[in-house]
Amino acid sequence: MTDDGPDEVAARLPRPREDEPQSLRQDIVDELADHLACSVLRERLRSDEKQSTDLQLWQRVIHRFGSPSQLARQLWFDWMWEKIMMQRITTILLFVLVLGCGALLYSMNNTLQNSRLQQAVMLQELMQLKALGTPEPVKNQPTEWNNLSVKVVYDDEAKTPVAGAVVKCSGQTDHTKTIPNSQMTSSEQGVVDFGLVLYGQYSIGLELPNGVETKNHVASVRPGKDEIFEVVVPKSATRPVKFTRILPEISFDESSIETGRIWYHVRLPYPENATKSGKKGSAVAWGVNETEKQKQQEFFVSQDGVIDASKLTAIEPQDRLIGQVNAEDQRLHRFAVERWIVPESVTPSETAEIRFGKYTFHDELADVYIEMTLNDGRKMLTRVPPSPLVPSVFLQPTNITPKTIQKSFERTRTMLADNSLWAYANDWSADAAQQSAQGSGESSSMMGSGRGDQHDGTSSYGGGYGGLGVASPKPTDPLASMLGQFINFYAGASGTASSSASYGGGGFFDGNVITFSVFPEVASGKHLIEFSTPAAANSFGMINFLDQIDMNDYLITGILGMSNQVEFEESVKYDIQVMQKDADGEIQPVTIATSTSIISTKGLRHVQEPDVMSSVCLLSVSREELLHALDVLQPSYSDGIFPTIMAVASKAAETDENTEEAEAN
Amino acid sequence: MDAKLISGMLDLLILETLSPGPSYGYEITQSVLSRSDGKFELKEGSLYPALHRLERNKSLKSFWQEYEGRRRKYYQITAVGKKLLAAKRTEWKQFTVAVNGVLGIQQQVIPHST
Repeated sequence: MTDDGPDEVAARLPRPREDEPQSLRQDIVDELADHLACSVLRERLRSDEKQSTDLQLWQRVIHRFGSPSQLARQLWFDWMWEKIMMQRITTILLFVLVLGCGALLYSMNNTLQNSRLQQAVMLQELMQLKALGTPEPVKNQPTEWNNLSVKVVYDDEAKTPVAGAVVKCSGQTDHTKTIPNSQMTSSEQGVVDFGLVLYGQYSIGLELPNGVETKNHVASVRPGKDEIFEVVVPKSATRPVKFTRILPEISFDESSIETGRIWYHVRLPYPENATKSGKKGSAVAWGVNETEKQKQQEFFVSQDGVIDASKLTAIEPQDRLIGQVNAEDQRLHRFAVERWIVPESVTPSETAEIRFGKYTFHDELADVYIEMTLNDGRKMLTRVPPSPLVPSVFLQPTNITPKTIQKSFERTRTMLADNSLWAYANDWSADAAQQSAQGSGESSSMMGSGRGDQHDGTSSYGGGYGGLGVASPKPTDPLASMLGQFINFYAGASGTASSSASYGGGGFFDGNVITFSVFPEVASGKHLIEFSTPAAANSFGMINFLDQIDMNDYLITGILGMSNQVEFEESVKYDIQVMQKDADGEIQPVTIATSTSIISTKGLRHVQEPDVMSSVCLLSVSREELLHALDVLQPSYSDGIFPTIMAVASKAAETDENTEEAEAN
Repeated sequence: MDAKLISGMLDLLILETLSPGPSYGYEITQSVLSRSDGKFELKEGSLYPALHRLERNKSLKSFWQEYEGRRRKYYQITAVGKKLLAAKRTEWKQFTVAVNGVLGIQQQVIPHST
């Protein structure tokens, strides 16, 4: 027949299914075949063309009928639709059921595991409790008196008992304070038994065989219960710390530079409860400034030197004024009293191990200073400013980058090489020395006697570090005192010092000028002045010092450095005044002197470096320019960009005429 | 005539055609064609699915007979089918009255021969 014959129709039906009625396919095929046969017969009877073949008749029938296969498939699906859908729904439900059972099993398994873990933990705790044994029966004694023992162990893994430790016990609460203090030495087992004590709190202090002292351990004795108080102490009086500051490449190829070194002001924390190590008056490794609640040690170390604590000289009483160290807190001297000669070229290293006694330092950098000495003896110590994004009052070690160190080195060199600065300073110091000599005996102690002839035209300082000039009509004021303290750093080993020269010589710019920075904000909120001396570089002493400063005594006659936000022209003479922030936070000029004398110094153009907070330029600016500079900079303050304007103070009432006359002379 | 009109009446036509007695698919198409004066030509693609559907919902029952060596499937209206037919006749009357009323055609009463 054709492709639409019964066999072909049956073949095109879907694959037989198990739930399919046995006769469904045949019934459909037979029914359609019967219909088609009737249609063909009718078409034959209707057709007048006897030439029509069966194929032609069939084709006409199919043409009217449509596709028998398609109809058969439709009939088959109509019959099987419900069964098929039921099967699909059943399959889906079964799948969902399996998933649900799987999830349930997983959850049950997790719960079971957690339960087992908890049971294991509980079992372990029970075993531990069991191991503790039966608590001892309460002693037949008054409950307010109980036994206090102290066990001292080292902080090593084995908790080694400390034998021979002196253990001090003193009452802390009201009624325990009436008990006399007790002091005993620990046994081989590290135990000290103070016997029966009143209930309450007791302060325990220790002196260990390794020299470590710890205190402020608090033992609580409860009524009716004996107390065994364990104190863990450091096994070593020191701890190794690795210094990992990346250092810049700085070469000393300048013929004028004799030596140059980098000093690192390092703060190193040490274990809690530590007090001191070593003897009083010696350069000990530790110190606690309990008044500031800071437990750290501070000292200056050279880049590649090894500072041996035993080589540090004893701290003289007057030296303590430098760091405001008193005899009680044992704070380490702020300045290194020993110096090392570094090689001419300072090579960088990624890890510089600097050993201080038993320590090496690990990135506890607080400050970096550049110390530089010229061939003619001029010497300077400058502080490397941190990143401009962080106010310098909040020193962050990470902000002192190799680049800033490099810039500071260059700046220091530039400053040192400025002969005009030294010439002026020389005149000033000579004048000041004369004034002080006429003054009280106190002032003489502030002035160095090793001045010599300073006007030789070739060297500003005849031998050694030159003289001290403090531009103050009040030589005993704190500014001079601070300066003198600073100067002591250099005077000690200069060889030019006499008894009165313990404060003479050296210092920032030879001590003849005071450099300080002008900030828009200062922690004290009182002045806009921060003194850029090493002693005042950090929070140490600065706030107190600022409160004591009366800037009316000083005339700002020059700008030593400025922020990178403002650029001042070279070789321009200006007047300077001190800028002070008033109660409203407004920057106001403070008339500090009647004179508007001007420093005729050669200025260095400010270097625009975005990552260098201040570059050193020696200029003189007018009050208006300074005000303008602060006005310009002020919007930046809130952004954390902290401009620094370092000003040079000179003595009051110096005019152009006087200066020119002096120069002419 | 619009096939959509016929499709809505397919069940009615099939049941009415089978109401006198059993018949088979081809004969049903010819009977409807004849009684409608050639207006209603039931297509096989519609007829057989309708027949099977009516059979599944018990409105019709079927039986096979041999004819000239072929199997021929006869359909016969059931009691359920008769009820369905009566309901559909009523439904059709209501429909035509409503449509005529909308169209404004006066209803002609045609005697019904059972």
